[in-house]
Amino acid sequence: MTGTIVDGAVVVTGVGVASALGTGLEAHRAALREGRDGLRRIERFDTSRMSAHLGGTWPGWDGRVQPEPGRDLGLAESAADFPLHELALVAAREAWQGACLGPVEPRRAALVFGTCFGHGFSEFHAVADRVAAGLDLGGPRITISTACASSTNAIGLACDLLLRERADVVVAGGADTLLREAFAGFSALGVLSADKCAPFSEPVGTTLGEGAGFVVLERAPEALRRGITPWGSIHGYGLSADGFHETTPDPSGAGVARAIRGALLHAGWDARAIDFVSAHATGTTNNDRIEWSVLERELGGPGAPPPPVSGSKGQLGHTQGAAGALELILALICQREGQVPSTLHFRGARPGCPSDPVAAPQPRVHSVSRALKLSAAFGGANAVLAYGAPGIAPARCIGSPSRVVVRGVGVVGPAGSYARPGVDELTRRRAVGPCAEVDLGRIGVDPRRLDRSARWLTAASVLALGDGGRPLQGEASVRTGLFLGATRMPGESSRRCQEAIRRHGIAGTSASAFARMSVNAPAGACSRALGLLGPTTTVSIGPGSGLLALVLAVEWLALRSDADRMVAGGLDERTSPDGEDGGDEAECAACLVLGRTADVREEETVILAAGWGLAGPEDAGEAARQALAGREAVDGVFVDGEPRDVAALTRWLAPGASLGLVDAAAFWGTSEASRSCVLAALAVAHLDAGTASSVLVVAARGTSSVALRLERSRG
Amino acid sequence: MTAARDLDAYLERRERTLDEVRRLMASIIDYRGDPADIDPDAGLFGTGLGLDSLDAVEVLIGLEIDLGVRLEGDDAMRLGLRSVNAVVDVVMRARGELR
Amino acid sequence: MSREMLEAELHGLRSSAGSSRADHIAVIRVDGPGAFDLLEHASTRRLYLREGQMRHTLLLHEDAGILADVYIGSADDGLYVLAEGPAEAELVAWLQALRERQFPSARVEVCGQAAERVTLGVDGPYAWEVVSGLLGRAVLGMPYLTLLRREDTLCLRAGKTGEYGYLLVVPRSQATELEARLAEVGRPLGLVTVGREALDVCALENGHFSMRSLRETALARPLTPIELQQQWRVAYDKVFVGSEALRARRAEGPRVRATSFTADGALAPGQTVQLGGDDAGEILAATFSPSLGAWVGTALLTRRLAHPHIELEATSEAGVVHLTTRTPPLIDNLSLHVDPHKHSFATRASPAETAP
Repeated sequence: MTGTIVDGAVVVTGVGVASALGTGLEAHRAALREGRDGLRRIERFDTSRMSAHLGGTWPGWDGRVQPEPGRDLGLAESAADFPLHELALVAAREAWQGACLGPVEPRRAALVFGTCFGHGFSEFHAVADRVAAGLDLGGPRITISTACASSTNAIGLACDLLLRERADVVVAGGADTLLREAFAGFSALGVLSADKCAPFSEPVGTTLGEGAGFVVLERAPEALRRGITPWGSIHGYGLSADGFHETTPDPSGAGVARAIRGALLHAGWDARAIDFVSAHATGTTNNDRIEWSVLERELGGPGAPPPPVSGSKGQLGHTQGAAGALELILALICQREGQVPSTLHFRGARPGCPSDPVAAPQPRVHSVSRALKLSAAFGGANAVLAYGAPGIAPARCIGSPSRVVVRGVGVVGPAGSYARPGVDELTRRRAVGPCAEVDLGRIGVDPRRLDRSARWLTAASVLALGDGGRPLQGEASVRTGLFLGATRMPGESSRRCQEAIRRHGIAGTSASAFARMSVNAPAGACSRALGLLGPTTTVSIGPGSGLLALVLAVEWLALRSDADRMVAGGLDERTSPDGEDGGDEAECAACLVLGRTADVREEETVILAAGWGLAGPEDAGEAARQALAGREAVDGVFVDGEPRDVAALTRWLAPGASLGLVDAAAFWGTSEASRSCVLAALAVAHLDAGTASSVLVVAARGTSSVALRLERSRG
Repeated sequence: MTAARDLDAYLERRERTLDEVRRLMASIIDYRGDPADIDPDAGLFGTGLGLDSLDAVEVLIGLEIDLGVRLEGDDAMRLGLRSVNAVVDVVMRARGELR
Repeated sequence: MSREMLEAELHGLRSSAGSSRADHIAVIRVDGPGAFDLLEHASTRRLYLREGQMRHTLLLHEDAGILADVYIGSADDGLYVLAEGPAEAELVAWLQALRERQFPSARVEVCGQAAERVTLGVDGPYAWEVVSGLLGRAVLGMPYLTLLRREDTLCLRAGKTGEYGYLLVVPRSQATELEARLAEVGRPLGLVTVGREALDVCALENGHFSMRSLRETALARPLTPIELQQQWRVAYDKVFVGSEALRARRAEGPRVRATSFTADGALAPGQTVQLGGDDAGEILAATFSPSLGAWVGTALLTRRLAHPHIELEATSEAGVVHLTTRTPPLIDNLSLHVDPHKHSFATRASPAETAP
């Protein structure tokens, strides 16, 4: 086990907001007081051929327009006048200033940033980098991209960082812009309302918005020492996968229910203790009805209705990656006044919806001690945050951490696809080029609806699970999760979407291509194909994303009890399409399956995830130090990226180490997200073969530095 | 004689349009086999080819752009899209090739 | 059965719901580590089953003739095969023989359920309302071809009438009580009891393949999924019982194809159909449809003529019957216009308002 776990409260000491309601706390307070919404006609691009014309645009960008969609207008150029980090920094700075922090050691200040589409549908981790740089944050910088659940997930992960003492201050939240291409995609999906979004009511449909919302999180004792009155406390979070459809939620609501239970379990709370829910409530028929039926079941009972539930998308619009954070902040603003935010535009409940979702222009007086923030995203990723009033003491039970072991490995790459590959298979020839073809049908996976990215990820997961490709059933299904590290949108679907726009115009966007081109879409498709319905997330730190996903999965199994196995890894779909030279690119998906030693027979030799570390960019040494805690040296240090701090890494090698320093680039082409997982696969191969008894795997080039120590051990 | 010639003309146009519609459906469902194996009466949604709501959008766009036929109205969509042959009927009717 | 009784059953099936005993469906539970591989090998299409999912597929004889029209589903206690065609004992024996041939060392249990279970059917535009009244709200959200278990009842959403359809597999000991509760829940919802014949008429009206319309014919021996327009549930790149023979038939090029029709007079299976005096094929199945006020059915027609909107004749001592080939389904099913989350039988509009 690495490092300490602090059993303490996490509090919100600063909040910052920018949205359709305006810029800054005061603007939002005023809007809430006056019962206003920020939804208005979209001026920045032509909506005449779309199914909706309203949006929640940030007034800070009034007057800016997107260039006309010419033949060769790329997504990046289209977004040029709407730099995401600019919007994000407006809110992040306000939160930072509001926290009245004293001098902070930069390496102990982290950022967890949620976004759907990044800047121009790319640069996901780069935006986080710019935001962190703008605030002088030198600690881990993590981007979470699980569509509309991104910032909810981000705030939850930020708490983990604090309680694991990887940071002392974390700026967490999300941001997204409202661009024509995204608008067209949602329009093609038929989810946009012709009128202003009316959660739980008529007319059906959502209104797209944009914005940025950030909170500053700290461990309670530090904040209290400064005499800060926190906005609230964060107690836990739950994640789950629907595994149902690209865009439609599971009609049974089982996925959302699992995420709610996961959050309650993490917080140590009883469902009956919840006195408010900020729902996802997009205004679409499916979402609202399913969400309400789950809330009735999980938080209500015979004769006992659920607590007040409201949705804030009527005020803000659907702010995509920022939704969780912005809606939480509205709730915190109200909570401080002894109120809860209201649901706007309510004209009577749709079938299956609550008759009173706090329907009113203004917030309602209602004291909140413990509450939930729900988010349900495209791709089926659900995230639920358990938060509360500032003074609520932590109730979480912290048992001793479990030992986590590697149960399987799957690598799909240029040289072929392998289950638990040996050293030779991984290093015989330098791997460059597209993935070797995989016949999914023969493995037993339905290849329909799987684009290139989804195919490789699913194949690698099948190989790592070692179960013949059959979808998981029953308990195993809901207790096996999937954590993915990725850096780009799936190329094939993205190109197909852009091709559709080129051929048919913006109003002819391909709905299916749009649905499959989000960063988390491959994870959603894989969870659907294989029945991986446990906790899920998609993270990016640029190079090394896969290793981060692996480490977060290890930590989840070590500290949580709602999953028994985790599939975790990295994915890189080639950037150059068929026929074009990919240069040094190696297309790849590499996954490990993790479990607990409790599930392993006693005499069995296992590969243990013995330690792990997370630090800021260009701080591989610190990540390695954390991972080595409790041990003096290792037989091999495997590095992805130029080892900037070579001295700091080689010092961990045992004298006469059997493997020494291994550079990933020596045997594997450029695979930003997955190469670090290929390194982990190689480490496992060496440990299996007995050529080493401990290996440190380090990702040193991303927006965070990550390290994982793997060891041979007796079960 | 006229009747026989009319029939021949109709059958030829029918086979041609059936082929067009099969190829459109094959591209939408990423069909790995020969489009000629798609049964003319195969259902589109639910049973048969198993298209879903996402695919429905593609079908409408494909019909408009590739086959030049625009389907309007809920009922037109519901009835016009029940099977491959139903789509062929819609296309032929729009082209004046079906009474 | 009298014409009036059949019409009443059909009216119920098409406007509210009809319940039936599905004794013609063999229910077999297949369990054990080798269960999936066995059924995957038997099935004409790959199963890809998540728990709670069903696949509509076929079992063929070695000569590619159709043995059974089946649903295969994954429940919490194993895989279920719901088959029309063979009797339970025959199908159990067939599966066991297949296991011995293909997977001799595999551990598979093949258990016919007839001794312990009874299968009921509920079909119609408001069948969902009846079944959810019986088993709870979870039924409302069930997508097509999924299943769920409520206590001892296995509820599967399938159906071959073009309306909402559910099969309920219940313990024999509870069947009577359940049927009574079903009748009680269904009374205010217009539930009627229906028999095989009414369901078969609905299947023909909707162009659904039925084992009962399969017959021996010289036009194609045997009748395979190709002639019967069932290739949508065949994976040609897969090995299954009969795959070789089927691929051979496909390579030959089928000479006839099953085509739906309406007609102005009675027709019998086997009757020759002609176009301008030349033989064009023969009747496969035919019945009178009160909804359409015409005879409906399917005919095996020569490939060239196997298209809709063609006028044909069939001559007998009774006279000449005029047929027109059609694009099925022949009915605008009311179910297409009913949304379980918005509508209910009690507040339904009058038939005139919802007529196509």
